[in-house]
Amino acid sequence: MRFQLLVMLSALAAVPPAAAQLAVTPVRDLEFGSVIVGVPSSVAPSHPTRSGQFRITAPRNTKVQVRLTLPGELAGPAGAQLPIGFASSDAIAVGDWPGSTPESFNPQATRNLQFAGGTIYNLFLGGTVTPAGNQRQGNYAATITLTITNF
Amino acid sequence: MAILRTLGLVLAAALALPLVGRAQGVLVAPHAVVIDHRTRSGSLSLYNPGDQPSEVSISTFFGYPVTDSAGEFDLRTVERPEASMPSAVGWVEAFPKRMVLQPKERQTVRLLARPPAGLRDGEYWARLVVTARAGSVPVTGVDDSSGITVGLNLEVRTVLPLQYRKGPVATSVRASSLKADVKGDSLAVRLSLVRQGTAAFIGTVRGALADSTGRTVAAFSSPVAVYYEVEPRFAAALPGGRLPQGRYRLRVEVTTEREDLPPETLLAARPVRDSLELNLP
Repeated sequence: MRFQLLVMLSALAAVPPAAAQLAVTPVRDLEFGSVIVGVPSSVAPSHPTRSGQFRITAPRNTKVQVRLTLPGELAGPAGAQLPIGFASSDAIAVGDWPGSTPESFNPQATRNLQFAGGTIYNLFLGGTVTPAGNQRQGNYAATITLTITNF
Repeated sequence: MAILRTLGLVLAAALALPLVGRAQGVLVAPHAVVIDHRTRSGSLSLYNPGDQPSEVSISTFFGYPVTDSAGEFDLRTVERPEASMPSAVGWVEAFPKRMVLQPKERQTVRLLARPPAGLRDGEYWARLVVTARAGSVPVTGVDDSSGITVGLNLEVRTVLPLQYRKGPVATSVRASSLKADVKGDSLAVRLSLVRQGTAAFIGTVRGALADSTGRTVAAFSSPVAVYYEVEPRFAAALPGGRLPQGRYRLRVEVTTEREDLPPETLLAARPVRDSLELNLP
């Protein structure tokens, strides 16, 4: 019993300090606002209020790979689909430290980020929805997968 | 009536894709795991900082860092590792493997290793995957008379290295083929690194470019992980975006220091240095 307690305590003690954490925090919706049915609508990743925003936190000098797996359409009622697209410049990454310059990149490709001057990277995502003129009413949904790989 | 129908078709629909707030990633610590054969156990700490429950699952696969033709790091995954590959997949397990983390809840995940009998001394690798998704998948959005609501669910996968060490292990690295060139407003450096010894080389590459007076005019520092061999590309911003003509010397050092990892998890090795002269016309 004492041995088990010691093992548990040593395991808890082995948990590193708060600095050695990796976290992804969604900050803001990707919001298309008012769009005309039948007319494509785009949001640029640089849009100050409508672009999607994620915050990635890692220890200073960590290098991670970011991979977004993005849908091509949103699935709706009775098999209806609402197309959504992401252009090659629809993602921006910028560190929160002075001197970090925003890097535009293709959200369909991987991107390596180095936390060279701080512990936070902000990732901004834009996109385009193309509702048809006769788009069926109902709920549409899809999943975005964000994979963060620490080498 | 026809006018009303036409108007109905062009009614503005407020489409908000709520990819945040609905789903929530979890905080994972540490971001690299080392397990020693003597204890055969480790742990991960998970925390849900959000205000929604998060479904979390833990899995493993075999993979190791490589570099592509541009010198960028990527992860090569091997679905069925050959017997000669030092895979710990299959005998390192997480407990629990699945859980629902309530808002602000913390959970310690135990990692237990059951290596096969007669495992030879050395380092064995796996990748841990912590997958977090929303506990439920509600689809909501800003609706109006178009009757269309949309939602994007976010799934966050955090992939971490796991190293299992049995007996004495050692690492070092052989550096060669140092190249440098000015590309745009940066100094681009390539270097071939081949791991030596029985364990992955986890460290840092630092480079400094000095002018003919010995003054450093550009520098870089980048973490590296050499499991087999890599040829990474590094970049250093040039002052003012350019370099005056002249002779420069680039010095590169590869060490086992890492700012982002606890020193006790790193294997020490003698620093490796290389240099080259760069003549800019």
